[in-house]
Amino acid sequence: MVEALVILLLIVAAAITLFPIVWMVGTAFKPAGQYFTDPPTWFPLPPTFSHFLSIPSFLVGYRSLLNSFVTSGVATVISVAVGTMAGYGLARLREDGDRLAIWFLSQRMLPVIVLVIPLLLLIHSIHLVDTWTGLIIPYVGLNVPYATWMMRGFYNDVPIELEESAMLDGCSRLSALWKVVVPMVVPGILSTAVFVYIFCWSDFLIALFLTVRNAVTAGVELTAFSGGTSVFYGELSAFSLVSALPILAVGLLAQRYLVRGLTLGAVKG
Amino acid sequence: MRESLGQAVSGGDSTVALGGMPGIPSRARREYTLMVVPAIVITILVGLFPVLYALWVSFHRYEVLSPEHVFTGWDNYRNVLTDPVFWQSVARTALYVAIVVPCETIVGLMLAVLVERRAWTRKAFFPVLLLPVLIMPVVVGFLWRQLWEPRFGAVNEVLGILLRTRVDIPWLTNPTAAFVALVVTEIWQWTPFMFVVLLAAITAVPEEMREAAQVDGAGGWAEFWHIVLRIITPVMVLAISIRTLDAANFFATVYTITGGGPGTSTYSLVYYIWNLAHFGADGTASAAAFLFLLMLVIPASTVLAQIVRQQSVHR
Repeated sequence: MVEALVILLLIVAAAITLFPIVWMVGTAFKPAGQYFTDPPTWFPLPPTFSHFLSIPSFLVGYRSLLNSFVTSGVATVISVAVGTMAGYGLARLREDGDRLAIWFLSQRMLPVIVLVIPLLLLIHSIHLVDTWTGLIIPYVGLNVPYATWMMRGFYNDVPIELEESAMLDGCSRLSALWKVVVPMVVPGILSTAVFVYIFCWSDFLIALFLTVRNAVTAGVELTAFSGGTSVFYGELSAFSLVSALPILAVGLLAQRYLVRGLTLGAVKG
Repeated sequence: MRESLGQAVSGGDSTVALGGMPGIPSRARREYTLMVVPAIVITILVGLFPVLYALWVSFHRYEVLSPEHVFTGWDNYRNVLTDPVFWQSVARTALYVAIVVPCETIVGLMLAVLVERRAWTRKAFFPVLLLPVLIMPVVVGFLWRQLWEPRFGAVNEVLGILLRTRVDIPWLTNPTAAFVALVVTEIWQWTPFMFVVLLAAITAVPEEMREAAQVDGAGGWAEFWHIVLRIITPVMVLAISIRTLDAANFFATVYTITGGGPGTSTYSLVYYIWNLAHFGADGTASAAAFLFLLMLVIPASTVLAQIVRQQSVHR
């Protein structure tokens, strides 16, 4: 009896979770007249691909995906590279590195809105507004502290004896790090990379401030489908679907490290 | 054994800390510090310096297009602090956080408890209930924008089916309804965060403790969960702190669903600041941003302390 109630509640929760998503997918394929009907049109009949095809006529269309992909990708590579090295240094410095580590962590608490206004002014002064680099710089700046903090946590789980025996065998510290330690934290590197990537791809505020047209990311592109009084729901849903898929895929792949990334390393999950 | 290893490896002078454990040899210390330097430089350049610059901007009348930066002292701050819309935004943001965080925590905890019971429920429901957290906030905003559409929008239609009557709530044109819409959207998106974290916490409770609780005649289900709850409280506090800080920054939902409207009735603090910057009043916007920062210092430090404490437990 209790079993059945539990299952029922979970199914209701799942339904509430899935309903908006399913509705969006449906709208992406609905002919325009079927968005808002009474009674509601549950299934698009006949389904149409026209919305996906008319996306290019809004702002920069699919190019925004390329912009997101490049800026997020490059920022992720740089942030994780810097963070992997810095995290190691901090972890091995033990208590001496603690205060520095906390400073890095505190950067994550900074509200983005405080940063974004001066960043716009600064990036404007070096003529990098609306460029890939103009986005990559803030993304790297915001994620290096996070990546450093997370990697430090992963290195703390690797005993120092490993490097020491490698160095006894003649390696320099750097090559011991590269050959012995890094292979042990590869899962940590990957999961940190996933979170940095998700953070960059989901960013809205920074891209909103720092792009105008050329470097518009997926998030900003979405705003092009809604103008004043009229909203192009079909195209909006179609593009939402397309732009949400990368993170969904990546996030589901990194399920195992989800909790650790979400709680900034505090919960190992 | 370890001490001799340290000396053989470092090649330089080693420092022995109190207690007999070898300290970090100075050569090693130099190398470790060097590795952290790039991260420090980047963080200062993009993290610290802009904040200081923003402070400077907040004391001037600053517009991107005009080369004139007139020092205006406390004017910007005075303008913000005497603006009723600012205080409404503060109050609204505070109310918003006060509603969404407890709701997300309670629902998230409930779901975690229910899902955790069986292995099959975990496998089946975890990926589904997790989804909203993986969708970009902008997408979530537009997704729900469509549902909140008053005329034949899905929410009104579904409510109509459930209540067997025609439902025509003006979600986007009535201030209170619009606020509710934002709250519901936020809860939908972020309850999975609490769910995921709390599920991990409950799963991590050692089997022996659970069995012990039941053996000790912990009478029934309620007693048992009383114990589990006590054990996961630190993690719950941590998750609540993180969520509170993030919720206070809500912007995307306002931008996509209500545009701050009707009028200024659904302005969040961040939206208020954005609006100032959007219309060129960078000095005033920076002043408001700093006031916002000040308000968040205490919650932010709490989160910081929580995370650090949790991490050192694991050391």
